[in-house]
Amino acid sequence: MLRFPNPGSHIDSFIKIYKELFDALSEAPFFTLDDISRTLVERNLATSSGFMGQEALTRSTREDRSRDPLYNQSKMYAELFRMLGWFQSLPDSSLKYRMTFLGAHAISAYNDIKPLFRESVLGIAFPNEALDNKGNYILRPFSTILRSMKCLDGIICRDEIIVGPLNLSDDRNPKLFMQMISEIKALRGNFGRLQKALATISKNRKISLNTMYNYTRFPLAVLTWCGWTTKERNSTAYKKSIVFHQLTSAGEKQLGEIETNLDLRSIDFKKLPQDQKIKLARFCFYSMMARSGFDLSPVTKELTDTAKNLFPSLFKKQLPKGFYFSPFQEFDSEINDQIFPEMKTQQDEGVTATPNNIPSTAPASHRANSNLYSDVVLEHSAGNISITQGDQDLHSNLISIYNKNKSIEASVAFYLDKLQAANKSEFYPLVSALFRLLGFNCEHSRAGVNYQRWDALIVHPEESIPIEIKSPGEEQNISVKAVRQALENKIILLSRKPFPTKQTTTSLVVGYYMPNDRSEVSYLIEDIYKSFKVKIGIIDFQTLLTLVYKALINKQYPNFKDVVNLYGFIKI
Amino acid sequence: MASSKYKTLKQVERNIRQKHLASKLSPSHLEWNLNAPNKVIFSDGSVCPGTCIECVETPCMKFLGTEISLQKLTQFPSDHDTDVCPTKAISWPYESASPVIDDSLCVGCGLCAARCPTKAIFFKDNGSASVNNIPNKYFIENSTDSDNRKTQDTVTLFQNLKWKNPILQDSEQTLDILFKKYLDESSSLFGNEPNLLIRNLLITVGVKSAIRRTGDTNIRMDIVLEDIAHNLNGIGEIEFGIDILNTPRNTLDNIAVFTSRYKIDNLIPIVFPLVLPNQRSEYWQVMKDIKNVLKIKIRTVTLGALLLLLWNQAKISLGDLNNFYSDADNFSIRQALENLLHRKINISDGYLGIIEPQK
Repeated sequence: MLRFPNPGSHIDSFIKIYKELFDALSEAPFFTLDDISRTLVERNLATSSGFMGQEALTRSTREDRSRDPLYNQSKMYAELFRMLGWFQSLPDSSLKYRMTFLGAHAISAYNDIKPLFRESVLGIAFPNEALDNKGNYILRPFSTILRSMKCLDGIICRDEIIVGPLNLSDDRNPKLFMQMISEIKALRGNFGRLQKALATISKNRKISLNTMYNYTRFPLAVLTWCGWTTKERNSTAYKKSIVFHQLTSAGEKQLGEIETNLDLRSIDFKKLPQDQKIKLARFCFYSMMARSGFDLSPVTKELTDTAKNLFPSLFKKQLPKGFYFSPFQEFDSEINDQIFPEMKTQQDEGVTATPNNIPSTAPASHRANSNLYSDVVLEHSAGNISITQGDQDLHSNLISIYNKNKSIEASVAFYLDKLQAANKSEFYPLVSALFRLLGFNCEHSRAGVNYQRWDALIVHPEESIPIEIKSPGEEQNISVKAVRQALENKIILLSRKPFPTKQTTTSLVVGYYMPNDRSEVSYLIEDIYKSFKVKIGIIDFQTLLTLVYKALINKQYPNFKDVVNLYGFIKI
Repeated sequence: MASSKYKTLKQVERNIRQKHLASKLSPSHLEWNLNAPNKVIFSDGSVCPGTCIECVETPCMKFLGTEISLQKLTQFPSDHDTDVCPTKAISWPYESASPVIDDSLCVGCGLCAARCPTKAIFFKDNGSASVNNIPNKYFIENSTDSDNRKTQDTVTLFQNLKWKNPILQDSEQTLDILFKKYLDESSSLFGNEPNLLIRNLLITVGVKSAIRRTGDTNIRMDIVLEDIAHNLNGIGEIEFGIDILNTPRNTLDNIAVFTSRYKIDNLIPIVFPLVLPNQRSEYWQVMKDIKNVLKIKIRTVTLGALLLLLWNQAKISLGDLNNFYSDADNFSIRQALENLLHRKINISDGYLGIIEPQK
């Protein structure tokens, strides 16, 4: 499947970002992804982990750049700007970039950027010499999508775009194109068949469904933004309501233009002598500029000469009305320097590259505030905690697992694995029962009781603790969303007073795994405490199970005061 | 923007023929009209239609950069979309003498009409706006450089003019048309760009605001508001969908982040919903809980309330939104709205959930 990165699918913002990058970096002979990240931050166009400005850059930057969110975001932007021909990589490194003559026209198009953007997306074609091509596609994706829509009653849905145009191996082969259309027509009427086709591609290409959906975000946003399609719900194509993209009259008009112009690719230039290649490429570029609303009078003579002297020998049968070929999207920077020598001279006069001055820092998760780990001390209990009738089965099950696995660690690992797909109806009562096995009077809230917004509550004569639970079916890793809900639980308990509690008593979150980005959750917990004096405590399921096994096997129980004061992540 | 290094071509310029008001005329006031161009009434009693003068800045289409940026919290990574129309219904094609409005995209919010200096944009009874560019003897085409200055003088003259009638009447019929387009799930405009719509309405009624960039998931607050003169800041959640119950807790998150990380206080927290939640919604009770426990009042300002302020050309400040507090003890925002409009509103109790909950 043809892959489009998705740094953000809001085309106005996307263009704005290019303008800012051009403003900051166009004078340099080259720039890097770090220069892009720094510019995005300086111009308030980037955020990371809930922070903005320089703080965002510092918090994002990782020693392992592949895990650095801002770096990755910059990389995605760079890839798309290269696809559009607005950036080009230098010959010595695909990660050193420069702005292009085509990109400069995106800046000059202050009256109306839309026609140039349309031309730039239509200019994307694979394979080409400008990008590091992966896959063996011969494809001009946007014109293929529009052509497909026309053949499919003017509509196409996201999954059909994946199955069809973005998976077409050769759009210049009419037989293959019509075969693709027939296949989609055969899928229509049966949603299951469409999903099966999608699953087959996912399996064969080893790309998850969600990733495939993500690859369509940018193209779908482009189609709408360009005015070629509108989104409409359609219940007839698959006998269920699905969002379809419908070809507009502007889309049809664009398609008409595409069909009357000659579609050239870099491979078509291979056989041409160098002087003809340059002349034809320049003519194609200026045709593109004319369609983008630019005044060609400064180059009229050159274009007339090319048409007069070159075209009769090149196009003997019929002179094309126009061309679809974009040199900055098809050729590498060295060839473009030969085609547009005037541009090279200007670039050589540029200033030196901006140095990489972004300090590499430790991953944010290692920089989390150490204060946000709370110790819970385990104490030996003289007697046994009484186990209610309802919890007997769970108790027996846990003991039986221990007897088979022979260690607390192995038993915890076994049970954790067993619960990895548990939904809320299974997980919430289980968490409540585990707290009861620890000796706490824990109630699981019944659904639909308005004042019980928490999922469970440790009832205590003075310091009742609300618990927000997230089952692995809802989210594998605890998120900031659960923290917000824990804050609300505490406010409701304090306000409506159905059970006694104190302002200083914690509000708990219990989830399957600790947060993915522990720092983000840490900072929010800290912000909430600083602003509202409410403590939020986080317990992951593995730690809860460990606590329970230590209670059942070693007779070691958590100190209630430590739980009441839990602030941040539990540590035992 | 630096593009000097590249000797690029120039885009073909639009054939703009700016106009100005004939110098002998002295307008006394404006009358907003429905289904026909608005009226400019002159001191001698003569009347002419509000006419597009083809201004270069196109305030009906674009905000200036300074209008959409914050003065104090400059590091807020705001959306730089300068479009006035949230549904992109207004454009100025090369071949057209003036901006044109696409009926199928216009939801009739009135933003373009409010910002047009010569009030050339009026509403048709289908709820869509239209630009009047029919030539008349009152607005004369510029022919000299000094005429261009007269265009600017015309804009200034109209800025201070009094008006009669609201841009759109606060009738249920008018609101019906807009909400039908906006609430109908089958419409391609359903819930389109709510953040942009709310920001543009706030800016146009006088409240400086900036929205989070679309797609930026790292910054959680939807909108930030400021009033430098009164040292006030606002923070908001915009929710036109089904997540209204999340808005109180998201607002608390916003407050925590702003006060703790950026030391910004004097915060007015606001939820901007499409309509007010039903009375039985937990939203109201949670608002009351938050007030009881944290002494924080989260205000609720509906899209409809902002539209009514715009249509009546109200000029308000951020502090004026302080009165839009409602909770389980009082769901209505009618009083707060009427105080700002200085009159009663012609919308019945609970209508569409604009001023009171529907149920």
